[in-house]
Amino acid sequence: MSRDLLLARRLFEAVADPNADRQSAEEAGSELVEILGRINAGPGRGVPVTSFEDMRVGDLSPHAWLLLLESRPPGEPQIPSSVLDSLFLNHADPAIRFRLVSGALTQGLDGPAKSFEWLVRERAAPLPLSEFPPTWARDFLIGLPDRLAEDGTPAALLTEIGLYLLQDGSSHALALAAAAITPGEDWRQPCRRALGTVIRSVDPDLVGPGRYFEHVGI
Amino acid sequence: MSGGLPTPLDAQIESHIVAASARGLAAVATPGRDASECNHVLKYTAAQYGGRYPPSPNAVASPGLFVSPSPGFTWGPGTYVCPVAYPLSTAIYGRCGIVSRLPDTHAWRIFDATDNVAAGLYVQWTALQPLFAMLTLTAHANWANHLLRKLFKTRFRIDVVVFPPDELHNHYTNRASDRWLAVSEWSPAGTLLSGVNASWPIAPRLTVILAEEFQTSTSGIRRKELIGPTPTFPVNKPTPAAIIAAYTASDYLWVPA
Repeated sequence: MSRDLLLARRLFEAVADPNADRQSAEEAGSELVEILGRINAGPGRGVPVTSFEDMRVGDLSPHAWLLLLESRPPGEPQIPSSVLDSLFLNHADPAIRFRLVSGALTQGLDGPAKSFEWLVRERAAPLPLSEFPPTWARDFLIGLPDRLAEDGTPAALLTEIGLYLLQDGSSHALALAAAAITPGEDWRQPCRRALGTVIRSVDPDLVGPGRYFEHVGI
Repeated sequence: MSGGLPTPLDAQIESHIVAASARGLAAVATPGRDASECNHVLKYTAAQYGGRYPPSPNAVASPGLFVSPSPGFTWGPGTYVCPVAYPLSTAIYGRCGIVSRLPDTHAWRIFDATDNVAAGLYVQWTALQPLFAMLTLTAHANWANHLLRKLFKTRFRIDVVVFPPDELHNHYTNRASDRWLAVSEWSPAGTLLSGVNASWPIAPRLTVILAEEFQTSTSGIRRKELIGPTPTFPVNKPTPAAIIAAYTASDYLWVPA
């Protein structure tokens, strides 16, 4: 574990604690910001992490992991997919899962996320999932068919992640959601119906964000 | 994250933001007062941490201000401060008042949550979000609220929320007149950051030192003073001008209990 993260772990957990009262959270934040000053973390920067090697998912609470995920600066290591997999599968809270899906899309970016608006400008069919930038969400969606043999939840997981991508609302997320429901297997139908209901409610004529789904048949 | 899908309320919300932004932060947060009373902001903290800011002899570095991720804060991730126009409004959070200057806020997008219509639009907007139903059923309601406000601020690129105090005190905090600020911190990718050093504060310095200390009341809504108010308290309340003068001179301003 990064030495700085190890030293600041107590404070990091305190500021991320969802049950902490405001005063406690503020005091932990004040102490953490002093540490950030001592190590010259710089404006807009958090606890530096040089490596996630040897870190296990249990080393931090889910909220602390998500705080790290959402504050990854450009140039620093990204949180491993193995950690994000475990967090997602072991915590059913939609607030946790949405933050994970959305945060992983922009982890470590040094500028705006890649735009897929060209797809709607050119009225192109959704890209295959494999042609999207490698993110946790993309890789998880690609691996979903392999879960068919394990249990009956892939359809539910696909629907849930699809809703999270809609909530994220970015060009990347919408294009990824459309790509996820394009293949014609029966088990993707519940997700297609769920996303179609949401999209049609906000964009009945598919002239706004619905354009990403023009070829999907929602 | 762009903050979700468009809603039929977006145009109305945007017009409220544009109108508040056009008025400017001082007009929204400190109406009728000198602009300097909004350009200087206060954050009160415990003595344990306040003493680490210059010009304290114990200042060990130049600490900044924290961008809080805690769901205990009203308007999502951000740095929570108060204009010096309301000198003691947030003193209930600590004995040490750290004064900072704001950068140029002319380009800031402002959400005036003290405007009942705007606030009502926010409430309606949340109900239209794809995740609203799921979030209202979660056991972690505080995180659900926090997440919705983060989505809202992201969707409308809100740089600062102006809101009335949500913790009260008869002598220090006036919900009717005081205004608090939640200032956003943006990543290069355009997402809201938290858990980091804020980039916007200019020259934070320990300026106000209270004799009083507070603790949370049993209800959790109010914060209760432990010493006063003493008979001298009303006449010794600091003025915004006095705070600004002390800050400018790198001096301290002492406030009795």
